[in-house]
Amino acid sequence: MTNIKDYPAIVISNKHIDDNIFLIELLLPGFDGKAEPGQFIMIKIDETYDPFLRRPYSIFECKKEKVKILIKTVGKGSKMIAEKKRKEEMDILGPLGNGFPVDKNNYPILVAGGMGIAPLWFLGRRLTKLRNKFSIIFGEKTTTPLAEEIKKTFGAKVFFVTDDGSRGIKLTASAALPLILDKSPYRKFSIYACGPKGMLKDVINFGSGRNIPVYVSLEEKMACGIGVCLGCSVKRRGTDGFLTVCRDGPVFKGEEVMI
Amino acid sequence: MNIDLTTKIGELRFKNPVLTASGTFGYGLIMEEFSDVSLLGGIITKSITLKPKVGNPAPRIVETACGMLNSIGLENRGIDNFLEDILPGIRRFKTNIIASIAGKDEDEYGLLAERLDRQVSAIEVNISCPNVKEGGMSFGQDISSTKRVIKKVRMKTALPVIVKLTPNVTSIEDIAKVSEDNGADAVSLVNTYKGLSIDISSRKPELGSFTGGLSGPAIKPLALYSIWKVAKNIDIPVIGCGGIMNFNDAIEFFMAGASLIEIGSATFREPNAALKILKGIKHFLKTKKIKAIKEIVGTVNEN
Repeated sequence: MTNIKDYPAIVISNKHIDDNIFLIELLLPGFDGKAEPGQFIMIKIDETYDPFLRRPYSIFECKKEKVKILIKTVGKGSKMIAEKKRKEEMDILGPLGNGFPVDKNNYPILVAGGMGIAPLWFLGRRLTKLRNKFSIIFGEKTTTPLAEEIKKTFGAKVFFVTDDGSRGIKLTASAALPLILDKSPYRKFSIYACGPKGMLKDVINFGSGRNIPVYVSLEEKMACGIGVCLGCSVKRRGTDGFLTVCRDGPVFKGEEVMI
Repeated sequence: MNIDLTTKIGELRFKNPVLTASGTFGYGLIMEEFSDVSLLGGIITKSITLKPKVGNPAPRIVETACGMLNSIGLENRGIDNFLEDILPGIRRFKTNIIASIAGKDEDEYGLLAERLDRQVSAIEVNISCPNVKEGGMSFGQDISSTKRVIKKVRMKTALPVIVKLTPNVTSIEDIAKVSEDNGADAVSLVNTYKGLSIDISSRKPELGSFTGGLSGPAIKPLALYSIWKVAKNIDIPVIGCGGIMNFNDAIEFFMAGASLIEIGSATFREPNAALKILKGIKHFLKTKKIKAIKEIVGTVNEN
């Protein structure tokens, strides 16, 4: 039996992390807390028809009825969500899509570009709970308080890189991969990535060059979030067909998709 | 009070007048996870083409004020896949299955109708898709092509034939009349309005294929007006759609002259939208002590 439902959720807290970044905790009455890192929810902002569509967000954390999401305000919809205060309501459809598979025998390396940390944070928490060792590469253009939050939670597991050198090494997240791997005592790896398309392409290429499995979480504009509108299709590598980000993804094997 | 929600297209009976619009409900299989598909009056499939179609480049969706533009481009796996892999899995739904078809030319429409004959409950002929280069809306914008396509389909099947009309014409009531005169059993309208959205920083269109089709509450008054015009001009049933979000919208469509309705983009916001609307219609009729849905069709007071 699926636990996908349209939950009438209530905002528990809305933490302002940076100028335009918010961490919102929601209460989903009746939700059993069963969600996989990489899965997402669709938020119906309010009962008016503008904005018309729901907004997809990766699950950032999830514990029983409580679900957290990380929001960056970029447009009208995200601004309206960011303005939600304690006790305000939003309908939440989810959990949707497929999460990151965990290869038990491989050492996980999580590569996050900016807001791409959202699903990987959840994966990091899950791996911690499973007592798995792992590393995170977190890249930003310039450092933000988000990096501070990541440091507080994941500590020495995180390797920081920035485009301008304001935190960690002045490098791109994908370029940091060989540094981590070559120093590592482990021999078998899995890479989990989420972030800008350019970064994902580089990570996929790196993985295929070294024969390391890469899992990417993709973003695309979507209307329904459940696989019927076919709005969020991505090209399937090696065929002329498409896969839907919402239903076939949002997590794909790197070699599966053309991005 | 027992309310009669039934209605008919030709000899085909519908247990209620709420259908789901093509391209917004898949084939019902995914939607089964969210609602009891068998409670609907019918489902209209994603449009089926002769050969598999990959669809248009991303982005395929852009939100606009109270609505959305889409340019999916009829992505589907073709008629063979539908008949072999999909249809056997959806026959169990206790509702009418209406196959939407889209061809590049009238022969393709004919072939599709022939393959589907006796396989489904009815056929909806999509001559109104604004997002394909060949065929699509260009058929529905021209009286003689509309006529040719419908004649061809009519020749190849005994199933009820519904023609889905585009509002991107000067007078939709003329296209509706031609459909009726050439053997259509019903018309459905409106498909989306052709539209454009531009990203001002890149000066690029926001959709990968430049233009798209507008749907959602933004088009509701336009759609309602078209239905009212068409319903006055023909005797076959009109299936109304275009931005229906709730039972109130639905009742307006019936009063304007629709015998049935299609729920489209509302499903994207609310997977269970069609059934919620059906419930609302029943409640409205009950409250107003109206015994049958037929009693309100085309009853807008024009005096």
